[in-house]
Amino acid sequence: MQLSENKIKILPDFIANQIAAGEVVQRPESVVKELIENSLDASANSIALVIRDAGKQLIHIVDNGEGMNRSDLELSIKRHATSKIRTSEDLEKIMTFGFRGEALASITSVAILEIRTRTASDDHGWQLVSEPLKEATLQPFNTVRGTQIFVRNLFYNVPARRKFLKSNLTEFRHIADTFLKIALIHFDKRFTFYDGDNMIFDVKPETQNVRIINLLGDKSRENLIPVDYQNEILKISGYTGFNENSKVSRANQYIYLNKRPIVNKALSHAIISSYEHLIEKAQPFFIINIEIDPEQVDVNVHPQKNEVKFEDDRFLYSSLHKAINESLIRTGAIPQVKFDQQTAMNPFQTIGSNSSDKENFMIVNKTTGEIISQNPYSPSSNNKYNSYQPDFARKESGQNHNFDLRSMDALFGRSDEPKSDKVTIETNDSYTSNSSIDLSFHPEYWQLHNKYIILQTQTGMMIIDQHAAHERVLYEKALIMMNKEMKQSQSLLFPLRVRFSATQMSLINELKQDLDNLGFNFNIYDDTLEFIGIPLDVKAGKEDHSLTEMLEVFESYEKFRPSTRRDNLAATFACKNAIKTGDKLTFDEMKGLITLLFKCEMPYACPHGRPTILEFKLEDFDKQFKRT
Amino acid sequence: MIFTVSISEFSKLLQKTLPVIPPKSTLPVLEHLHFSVKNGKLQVIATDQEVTIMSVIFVATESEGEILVPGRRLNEIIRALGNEGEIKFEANLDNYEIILKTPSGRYVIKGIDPQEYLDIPELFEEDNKYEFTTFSDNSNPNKAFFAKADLMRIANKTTFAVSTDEYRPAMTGVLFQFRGNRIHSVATDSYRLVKYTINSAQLNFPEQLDVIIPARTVDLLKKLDNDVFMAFLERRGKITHVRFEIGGETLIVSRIINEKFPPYESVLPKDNPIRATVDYGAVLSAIKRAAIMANEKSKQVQFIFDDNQLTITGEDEDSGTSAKEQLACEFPYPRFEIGFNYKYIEDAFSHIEIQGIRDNQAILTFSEPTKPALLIPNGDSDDLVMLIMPVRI
Ligand SMILES: Nc1ncnc2c1ncn2[C@@H]1O[C@H](COP(=O)(O)OP(=O)(O)OP(=O)(O)O)[C@@H](O)[C@H]1O
Ligand SMILES: [Mg+2]
Repeated sequence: MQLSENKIKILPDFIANQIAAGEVVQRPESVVKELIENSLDASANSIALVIRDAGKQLIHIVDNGEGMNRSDLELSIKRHATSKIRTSEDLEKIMTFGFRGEALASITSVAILEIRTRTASDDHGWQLVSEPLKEATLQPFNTVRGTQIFVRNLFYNVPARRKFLKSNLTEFRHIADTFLKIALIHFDKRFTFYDGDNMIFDVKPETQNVRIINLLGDKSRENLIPVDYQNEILKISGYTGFNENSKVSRANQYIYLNKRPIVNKALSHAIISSYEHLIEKAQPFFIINIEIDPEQVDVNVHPQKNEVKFEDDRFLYSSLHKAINESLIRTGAIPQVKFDQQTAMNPFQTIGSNSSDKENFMIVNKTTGEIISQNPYSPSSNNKYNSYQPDFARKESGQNHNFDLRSMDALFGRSDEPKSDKVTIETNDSYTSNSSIDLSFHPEYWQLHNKYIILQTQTGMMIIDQHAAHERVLYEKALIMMNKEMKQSQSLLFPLRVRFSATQMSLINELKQDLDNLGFNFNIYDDTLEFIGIPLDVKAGKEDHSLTEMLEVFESYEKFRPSTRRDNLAATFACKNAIKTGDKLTFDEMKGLITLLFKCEMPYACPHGRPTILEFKLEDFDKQFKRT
Repeated sequence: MIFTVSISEFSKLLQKTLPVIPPKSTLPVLEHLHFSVKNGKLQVIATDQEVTIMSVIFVATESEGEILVPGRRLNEIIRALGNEGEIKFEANLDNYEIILKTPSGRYVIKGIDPQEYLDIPELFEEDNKYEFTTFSDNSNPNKAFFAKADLMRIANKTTFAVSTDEYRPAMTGVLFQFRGNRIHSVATDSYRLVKYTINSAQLNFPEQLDVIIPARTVDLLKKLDNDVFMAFLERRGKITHVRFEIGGETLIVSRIINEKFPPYESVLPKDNPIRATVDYGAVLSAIKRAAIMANEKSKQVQFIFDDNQLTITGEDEDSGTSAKEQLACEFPYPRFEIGFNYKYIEDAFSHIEIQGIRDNQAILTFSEPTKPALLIPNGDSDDLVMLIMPVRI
């Protein structure tokens, strides 16, 4: 009998490193980020960066941190070699930027790496040179305390990757943005940045407002609004303000979690929404740090570590929103508290305003501005990293901040179920359950004036704006369709011919691919489109108007919404094809809509930033009815 | 005005006329039924200005008169009275108060002055603005006689496929194509199309006439209790209205849709080379089950034919739900895959059954996954054809 050959083999270390490198090191900017984080972890208070050829030729970092002794240096480039965590409990509360022991190992598999380093207690330093597939060399070296790292010829041995890099200008921008991001928040440290022989900036330790002015320019001086907010769980600090040229710029929007730059649409939205009515269709800037017990967050969800998972997204969202609001009010940017304004007109909304804790009664305040999306093309693709877990079930958010995380089941659970105020154990399930909400047991929806849907939740009730909610649903779907190139399109038996103006035609030509992905399937004859297929979401009877109206709105969006084309296109598509206010909905339609809404990545606001959901608590009703 | 009538007959009369009352009207008067009692008969009229229905029954009359009665309110009361016994209807023609009396009960509702009702010239022959044919006028070529079953079948097979797009009015109605002793009825919303043909042994139909009748009107013909005379009202040589006389007691007058129906004949595929023979009941229930899984985002079901087997799938990638149904079918071709909006394919299968369908089978035919699919009953006649446009994927 002959044994068949084994197929599965353990990868040689080098190949494993190269694969990991694909995750960690995507472009020169990733190297810069990893190296600076290492310097910060080594308690450096002065860090210099020199790059050549947008980092493709050289990335050079100099720090005055702790340095490494000989054996640490030897180990530092080995995979999973880290001085930063020892046990798996450590992983639960990461205080450092690094924790995987992967960065240097990855870099050395795709570039030539040189490290010169010396600790305070050693009388001389060491130099390590490592090339892919070669044994590293180590020798004594005369240098000052601290570490210098040279990364040369990035990706020279991975031509596919090298080809994939963008122009020098683009790669440089990425590096500069990352370095700037870090320098803005570590204002107590010195940062120096050279592009070749040109100095880009050199900032000395200073206060944060001075750092911001130094790095972002004088203009921001007048309108820096300090943010300083604290509750039992977290501390929010930093600065916000109006962008100088706020009509177009959405630049300078930075959020940090424990000084780690993060990307989180919902949190950005929490800030931007505070600016409602203050900036006409424009973007504020913000440099905001959220300090939170590391145990409350999981940073180990993304290879670039710029996405994090929170135990309680909603609490964070509302805290942040509140922090910004308070700052704006304090500086007189908002003349009066908006909640009170609304109270006068809407009896429902008086309910929350009596309670001291304003976020209690609204899920999202009136908001504005579109959602920032760094990765707008696939809102759901990063769901697992960024699951926006609503936590309506939390009781008394004022007092009970134990990050009780419950699934949607709890949210819509029957009130006769035994209620526990205790923390529910967070299982992995409860995160993913977001995408499989089962509302089927929920018995009732009511439609109010063919405009709002009312439903009972475990702690009170919700009012959902049917149009805004459907817009949100279609918006995210449109982005997915464009990204995935789903091209789902309902073919038409009788092609529809529609004439367009010359400007519209040129826009159509530009957007042709995206429109096709959305499901608009057409031929172009001079000034006429012949539709042979249309998106499934276009309501029967609106086929020819759908695109015309979309184009009109799209043109006006393009003027002042500085987001991406696809974003705008998706938002217009959603707006024009969503259920309208005034449409009567059947029970199944309401149920379907709500199910879809809660599957959205950001269910709380429509693509234009208006809220989709209001929540009211039973206990607030009780207060109003003087039952307590 | 006072009369007595059996509750069951009265109720039947209301069920016939009420569907014409518009659901929400800017003209409150349209929410009323026009009652008039004369010569021992009660005549009830309802209109929404496009369709008008008039129905007559015999009643035991004490005194004659006319009044407008709030239709839905009256119906609620009558329905609550059950189906037995009689009711006495007394209307005070001075203050338009209506009193309904049963042996044990007394209900008062408010009517209005019949003078406020709209003119419906098409209905009343005396007011002769229209030149139109009476039913008995044999010399008029533009009239038709339908056995009730035939007309009911036309109504039941077609209206589901009409468009609700007010911008394309031609598709909001059913096309009646009279061709000597046959009549084709066609409806489409440009996503699907249905064509149903009936043949008549006698020459009962106009020789050559195309007319589009609003779907709402055709819907009223789904339940008939008698054979039907159909005639057309002309004004300056142009047909403006259609008129159905159902037995001796009910009359429906409706405007027609004066538009060009899309050239459907040219888009009906002549010979789709790929043919699958399926059990339509089984397919229908499989579609329904697959649709539950598909209905949220994609609205789409997938038909995969391979090796005498049909697989129907529906999935919702996001929630990870999916459905897969496998059925036997006759399919001697290489693998073929096509996607549909589940609603359209479900509609087609739920209307495919006709008399004489063989072995509960229907035949789906295709040429390409992006070209129209046809669904026909298995049998010798080509009376019923459904066309469904696929979803490109
Ligand atoms: N600039 C530096 N100064 C002092 N020690 C350093 C420096 N850079 C790296 N090291 C040491 O090398 C080790 C490996 O660094 P590396 O970046 O590969 O992993 P890490 O930072 O522990 O984790 P991660 O892969 O998440 O960045 C670090 O744990 C640290 O002990
Ligand atoms: Mg590191």
